[in-house]
Amino acid sequence: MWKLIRKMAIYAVFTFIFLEVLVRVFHLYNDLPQWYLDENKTYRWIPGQEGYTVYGNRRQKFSQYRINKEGFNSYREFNPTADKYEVALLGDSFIEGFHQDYYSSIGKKIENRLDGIEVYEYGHSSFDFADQLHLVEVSKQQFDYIDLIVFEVKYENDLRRDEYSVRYRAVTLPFLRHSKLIVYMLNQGMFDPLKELVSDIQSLRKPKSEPVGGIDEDSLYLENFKKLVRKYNFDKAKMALMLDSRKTDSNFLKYLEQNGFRYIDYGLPFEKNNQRPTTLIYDRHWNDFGRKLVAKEISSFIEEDNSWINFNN
Amino acid sequence: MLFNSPSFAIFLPIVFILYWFVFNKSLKKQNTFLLVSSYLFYGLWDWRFLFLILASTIVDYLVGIEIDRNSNNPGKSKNYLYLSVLFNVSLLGFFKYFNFFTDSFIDLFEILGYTIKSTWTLNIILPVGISFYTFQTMSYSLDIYYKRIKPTTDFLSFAAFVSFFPQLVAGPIERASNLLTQITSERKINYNQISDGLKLILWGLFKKMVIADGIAPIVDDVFANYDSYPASSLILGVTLFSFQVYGDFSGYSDIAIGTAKLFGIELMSNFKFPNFSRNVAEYWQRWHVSLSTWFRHYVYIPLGGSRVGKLKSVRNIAVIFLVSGFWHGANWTFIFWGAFHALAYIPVFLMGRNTIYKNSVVGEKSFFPSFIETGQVLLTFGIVTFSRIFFRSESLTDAFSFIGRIFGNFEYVTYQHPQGYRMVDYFILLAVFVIYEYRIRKDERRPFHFKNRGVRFIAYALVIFAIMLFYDSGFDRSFIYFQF
Repeated sequence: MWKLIRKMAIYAVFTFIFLEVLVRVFHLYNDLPQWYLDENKTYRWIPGQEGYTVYGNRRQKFSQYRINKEGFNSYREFNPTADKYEVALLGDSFIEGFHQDYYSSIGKKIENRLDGIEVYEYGHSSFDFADQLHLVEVSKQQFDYIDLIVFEVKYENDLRRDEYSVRYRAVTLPFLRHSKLIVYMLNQGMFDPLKELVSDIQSLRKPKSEPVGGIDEDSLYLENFKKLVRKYNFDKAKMALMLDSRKTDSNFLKYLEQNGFRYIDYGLPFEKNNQRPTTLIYDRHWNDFGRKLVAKEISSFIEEDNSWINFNN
Repeated sequence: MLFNSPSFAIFLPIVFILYWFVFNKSLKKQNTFLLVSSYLFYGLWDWRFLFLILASTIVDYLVGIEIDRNSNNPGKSKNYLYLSVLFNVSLLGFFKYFNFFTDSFIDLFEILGYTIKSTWTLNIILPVGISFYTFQTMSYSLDIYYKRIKPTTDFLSFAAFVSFFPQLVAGPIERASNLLTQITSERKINYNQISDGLKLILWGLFKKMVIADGIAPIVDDVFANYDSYPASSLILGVTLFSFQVYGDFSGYSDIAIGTAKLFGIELMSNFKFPNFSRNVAEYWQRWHVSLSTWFRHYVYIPLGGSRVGKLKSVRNIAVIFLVSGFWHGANWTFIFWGAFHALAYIPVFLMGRNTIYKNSVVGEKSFFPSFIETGQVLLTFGIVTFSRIFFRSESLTDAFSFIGRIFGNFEYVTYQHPQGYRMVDYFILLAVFVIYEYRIRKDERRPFHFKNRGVRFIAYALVIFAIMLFYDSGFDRSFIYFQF
């Protein structure tokens, strides 16, 4: 028996090393950058990191990222000045754009459409509306120079809070992340069945709680929105929202229209072009075509915006 | 509990350690533990159906004793045999075929012009493995009746034989002369046997998780939307299904045989590289061997086998293929599938070529097959693959429409994977798989038979790497043959 255990252990170690080498040689793993919490309690990526994000077991999608000095994924640095025209796009992973090459982002596509514009993409995975408003407030000096600020709001996810607070993150078993093989296996969901099994066992031990009913999510989201815009002095002339009207409650849209909140609706062009996929195959994020549609919609909005008209005159 | 699930990955080592190091003091303790583990393994699916296994076990245990006790009274022992067959066939008939017969009965009346508003069909859940363990218990009573074995008086061992978890839900269907004799004999831990078992488990997981599960979404897509695909895609779909069903079932069998080895028990081989068969007869000597053997022993030979006249032999062949088709499922598609194989087998039988490849493999004396052998293998694979259209289709109408689209208007259009994945990955995978299987074709029990330790290690590591490359966390990983 000891012979078996000894041999299995030796094989396991060598197999691990062999697979680790294969995963590194073929670059099957995801180089997710490291983050930090800045002095204003805002999450940013550590500047200067470059790498590749990988989707699919067999590297079916492979894209490069670059973290700029501000701690966001962008091909450019953010240097707003009074004599240039700058647009800030704030949002979650869809704006952050690790799923695309950094030089093929929505911001770059807008810049290609409109001469003389600089687009700064303040995207960070899981940033909701409160995170975005907080970022604008704590980086006031920078945002004061920016001519137009667009907040990407996913109605079903981004209005669950009525104030900002740090949502502390933790990396599970960080030492294991040094192994690219383990990173790869985690990304491909190979540990998911094990996690499910553990959670099933845990749920057996915990008493079942009654589902909490009666909460009207739409009312809650609207109230949260009202509180947030009030608290952060939302500047309706300089700021706009970007949302998908197909996934947004009609009462919320009505409230925006009645109260002078401007919004860019990318849901309509997506609907018009529903014969072509707008998301990636291996991922729910927008593909190149989806990003083009969004960029076109934002560009059209900018072209009609007074700040852009004044700048060009 | 699926063989390819994390719960089994936890269950197996625990059972293994307790079996060899805690309950190894006596055979009785070991068998009792094996029985409890098997019932736990099955009960985690649906504990209610444990009573069916227990009932089948008790009936055949008692019937076996009674047949033996009345061995000098042929009439009485035959009655006991009928009791066993009736009981097991009734279990199968009710749980597997009740709705089929009801629906067919109603359809028949509708053809004759009568409409019956049926409330007779029942919402019956098919107990997993019922087709396998009922056949196994029946074989025990039949073997006692034919005086091939003596009945056991050790109920616990007999119950462990019926419910032995590695082969409980999808075979191999074992005969008591092989499995029960091992269960009633003392077993010793054997390094080589365990090592061989682990290798077979790894190979089985590869066949299941990479080959079968990898191409399953393509097959599902083609068969679900066959009416919108051109002939080229349909041919691709059914060809891939041939690989899928082989990878799925032979993968399961390898894991079952490998797992049994961990407990010191040798199960019979169930698959012997059927894709390299040179005619349909050879195919049936290599595909689902335990079922083919069962039908040969308990249906074909009692009917007279090939020792009767040609016409009766042909009838016997037709009977076993039809019954075999029906065994697979309560659907006319399976009966057609069986009939198709009978039609393909009978000419081979009449030409006297049904046993000529019994003791050889393709490329027996050289590494590469001859041109003739290559042609034979491709033709056999083509025939078998064609029959899979019936096996996989939901109904006969679907099957014939599928065939109609292939032959009606041949058109080639490049197939796109339903999830947009690169198709070339799958073509390379299957090409490498076929070449590797050809390399190991002489011994299905030793998939990693390389003299050089380094080569062996690389083969293990590459197989694990392939499992990682084709693993799909969102895929339903159950086995095809569980539905039978």
